[in-house]
Amino acid sequence: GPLARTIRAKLDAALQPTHLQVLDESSRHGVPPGAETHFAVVVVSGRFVGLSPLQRHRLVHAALSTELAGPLHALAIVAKTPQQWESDPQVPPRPPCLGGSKHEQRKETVGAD
Amino acid sequence: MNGLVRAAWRLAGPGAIGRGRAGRALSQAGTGTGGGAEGGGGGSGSREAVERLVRAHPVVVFMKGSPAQPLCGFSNAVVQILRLHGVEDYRAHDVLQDPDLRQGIKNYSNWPTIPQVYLNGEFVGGCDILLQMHQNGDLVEELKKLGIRSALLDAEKEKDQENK
Repeated sequence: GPLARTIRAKLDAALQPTHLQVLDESSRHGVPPGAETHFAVVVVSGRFVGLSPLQRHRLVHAALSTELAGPLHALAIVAKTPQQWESDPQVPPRPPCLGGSKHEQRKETVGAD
Repeated sequence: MNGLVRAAWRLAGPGAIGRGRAGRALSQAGTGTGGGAEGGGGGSGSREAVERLVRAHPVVVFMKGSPAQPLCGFSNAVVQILRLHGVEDYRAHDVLQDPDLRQGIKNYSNWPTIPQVYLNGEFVGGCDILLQMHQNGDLVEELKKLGIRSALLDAEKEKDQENK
């Protein structure tokens, strides 16, 4: 979909990945398929060398800051250097959805107090 | 290790949620009660309010739902990982109960998503990073620095003793 393409383009531009997977996982989170709200990205880039996981994730966030402020509700990230990916090309299993923001409390005023 | 985490998620499926350790009173399900009463300074999402929360305890988690009843798979993953390490005493804040806090915590850490894990007042990451730390042994080390002995160390010790 269009958001997937945007994500791919921005990550390509920002991180020049040697391997990039952009997965729309929205359908696993109780929203209509094609909703493009929950994504997982697997980014393999030399730019990550010497960076902690936190720093790597922040780079990914920075590349996608507009999207994250907008329609992109959840983003799972796997960020590896090319060497790490070669020795371990695995993506950890995704946790199952438990409803998330559908459980958000709505402040309802009922009665006088 | 992957199998362990997968198993943990199966454990935490809908059926398991009910039998959470409700008696332990370790989670603050609603932060509105405490933060709102402070008066002055900008509400529960202000920098000062968030700072107070992250410094209140060595292990602080901002999540959706509570440890007894997580309402998001990613938040649940954090809870399960902490549980695997035997960390049951920590502060958990349910952002679904407090929209100000939900936005405030993202501003504070400059991190766009929930859950967020803080160790010793310092932002450590979300569920992906915690999972990584769990798998590569870093979490055991970080907990040790906080004076918390991971249950996994004891589990390994037991195994070693059995093998002897």
